[in-house]
Amino acid sequence: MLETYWADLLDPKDPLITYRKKGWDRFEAIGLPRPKQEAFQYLIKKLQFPKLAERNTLSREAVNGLVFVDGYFEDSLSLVPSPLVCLPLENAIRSYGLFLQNRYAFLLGQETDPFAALNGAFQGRGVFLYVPPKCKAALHLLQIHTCLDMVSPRLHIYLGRNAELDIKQTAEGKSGFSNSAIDFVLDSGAKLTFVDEAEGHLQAIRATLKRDSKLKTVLLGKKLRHSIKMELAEENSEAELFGLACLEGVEEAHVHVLMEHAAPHTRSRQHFKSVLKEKSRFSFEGKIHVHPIAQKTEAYQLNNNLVLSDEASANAKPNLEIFADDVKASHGATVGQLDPEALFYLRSRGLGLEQAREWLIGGFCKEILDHAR
Amino acid sequence: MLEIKNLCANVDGKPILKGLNLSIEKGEIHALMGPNGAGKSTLAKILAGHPAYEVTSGEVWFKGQDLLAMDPEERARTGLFMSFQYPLEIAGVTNRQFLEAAMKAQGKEGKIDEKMEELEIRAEFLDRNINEGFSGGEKKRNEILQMALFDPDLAILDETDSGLDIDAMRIVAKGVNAMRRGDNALLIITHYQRLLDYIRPDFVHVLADGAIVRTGGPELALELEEKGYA
Repeated sequence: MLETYWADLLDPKDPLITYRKKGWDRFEAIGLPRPKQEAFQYLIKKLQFPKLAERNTLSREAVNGLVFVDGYFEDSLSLVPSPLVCLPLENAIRSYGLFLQNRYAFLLGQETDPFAALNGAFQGRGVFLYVPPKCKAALHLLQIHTCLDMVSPRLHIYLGRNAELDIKQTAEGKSGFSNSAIDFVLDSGAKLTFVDEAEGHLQAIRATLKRDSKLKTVLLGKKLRHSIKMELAEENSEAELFGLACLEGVEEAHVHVLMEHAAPHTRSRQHFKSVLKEKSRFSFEGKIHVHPIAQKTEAYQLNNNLVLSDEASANAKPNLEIFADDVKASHGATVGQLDPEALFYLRSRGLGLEQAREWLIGGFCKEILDHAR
Repeated sequence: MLEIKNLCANVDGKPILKGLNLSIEKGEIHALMGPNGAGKSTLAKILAGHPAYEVTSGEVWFKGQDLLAMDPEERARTGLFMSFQYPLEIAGVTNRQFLEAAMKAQGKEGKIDEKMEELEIRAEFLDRNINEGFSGGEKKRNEILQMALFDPDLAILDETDSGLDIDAMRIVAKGVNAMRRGDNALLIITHYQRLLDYIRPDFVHVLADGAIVRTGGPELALELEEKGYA
C-alpha cells in the first residue's frame, strides 16, 4: 500500500524529489515495525495508512504563525514577522540549500524510526523557518485538517545565535492519520520553547543543540507515538522534555526518547506523566546516552503513571548508557493509584468523591501543565 | 448531639474498639485520653468516615441521624469536622482552592483572611499547595483554620497538640475557644494534659482497651498526668 502511494507521488519535476527519494530509501532500509520489535514493543494498535492527502487551498484569515492544511504549509495563511525567514521547503532548498542538504543527510543517516524517514518521502509541503541572531518571536503552529487522509507536515527550524522562539502547536479539525516531523537546530545561546497541544498520531522531534543553547518541549496533545531524539552537541547546552498523556477507552500513547549527551557540561531532563482510565495504555522508553567526552553531564528522567482502572497499563523502560565517569544521572518510574488517604481528607471537608478524584488527578497533572505556562 | 452506643470496630481485621459508649451534648467540651493503641484515633477516624476502618457493630447518632450510614462528605456537610493528627500534603491544589471549595460544599460563608490573621497564618499560605512544605505546627494551624471557617457543630481534634510548641498551642487554643457557641460541641483527643490547661473540658474520659473505662471532670486529667493510666 505504501509502495503504491510512493509510486503515485513520484514526479520528476518536484523540486523535492531527491529529498523524497532519500527518505523513501531510508524508510525501506529500516522497514515497518515487526511484531515485538523493541522500539515498538508496547504499541498494539494496528496502523492503517489512509491515502495521502492532497493539497486543498482554503480561504480564510491568516494567522500569526505557520499554518499547515492537511500537511501542506500555506504561506498565504501564515504571517511571520520580519526579520524571520519563512519559506516552503521547495524554495528553501535553493536559498538555504547547503544547510538543509547537510541537515537532511545527517538526520537520515542516523534515523532508526521508519515513520520519521517516511515523512521525508511523503511530506506534503514542508516549511523552513529561520530566526536570525538575537531575534525573539512567538509563533502559533496551526495544523488544519479538512480530511481524514494521511498528512505529513514537516518543519525545519533554525535559531541563529542568541535567538529566542516560543512556538505552540495546535490543531483544528480531526486528523485521520498524521505523521509529522519537526527538526530544531539551535545555534549558540539560542532558546526555544515548544508547547504541543495538537492531537495526532505519529510525531518525530529531532534537535541539535549548540553551545549554551536551551530547548524546552512540553507535549500535551494526545499522540499515538512520539519519537524524540535530541543531541546536546556542544558544552553547556540543555534540553528539557515534559509530557502528559491523559488516556481513556482503548487509547494508547507511546513515547520513545533518545537523549544524546555528546559534549561536557550538558544537562537534560525528561519528565512524563500519564493518567490512565479504562483500558488505555502508555509506554515510555527514555534512553540517555552519555558519550565518553561528556563529563559533568547531568541527565534526569522520571515517569509517573496514575492508573485508574485494573485494565489500564503503563510500561516504563529506562535505558542509560553512560560512558563518561563524572556524571550525574538518575531515572525513576512510578505506577500508582489515587491515594485513598488524600481522597478521604478531601471528602472529610465536604467534597464529593468525584470532585475529590478530579482534584487529585488535576493535582497530578498540574506539575507538567505548569511547564507550558 | 453525638450518641455512640456499643461501638465495635476493626482495623486490618484486628478489633480495636470493643463496645465504646459516649454521649456528647450541645455546648459541651469532652476530652478523651488514654494509652497508645487504646483506639482514640481509631474512634476519630471512624466518626469522620475513614474507609479503612470497619465497624462491626454498634450505632452512632449525630444530630439524630445515623452517622455510620453517611459518606464522609455528607458528614462534613451535616456539621462534623475532624482535625487530622497527620494532615496530608496534596500536590497541585492550593489552600485557597481547597478552602473555598470546601466552604462552598458545606454551604458556609466567611472571611478567610480574617481567620488567618487571628491564627497568625501568613497571607502567602493561600497560594501554596495544601500543607506543602508545612511544619507539623503549621499543618495543625491549617486544621484549626479550617475548623474556624467551617464552624462545625461537632469538632473532633485528633491529637492536635502533638508536635506543637507552647506558642503554637496558645494560638490553637485561642482559635478553638473563640469558636464556642452555646450549640456546638468539641471532642478533644489527646495524650497530654497540657492542651486542657488552655481549653478547659467539661468531661474527661479514659479510653483503654477499646472502651471508655472512666469518666470525670477536668480534675481527672490532672490526676492522670500525675498517676498515669494504669
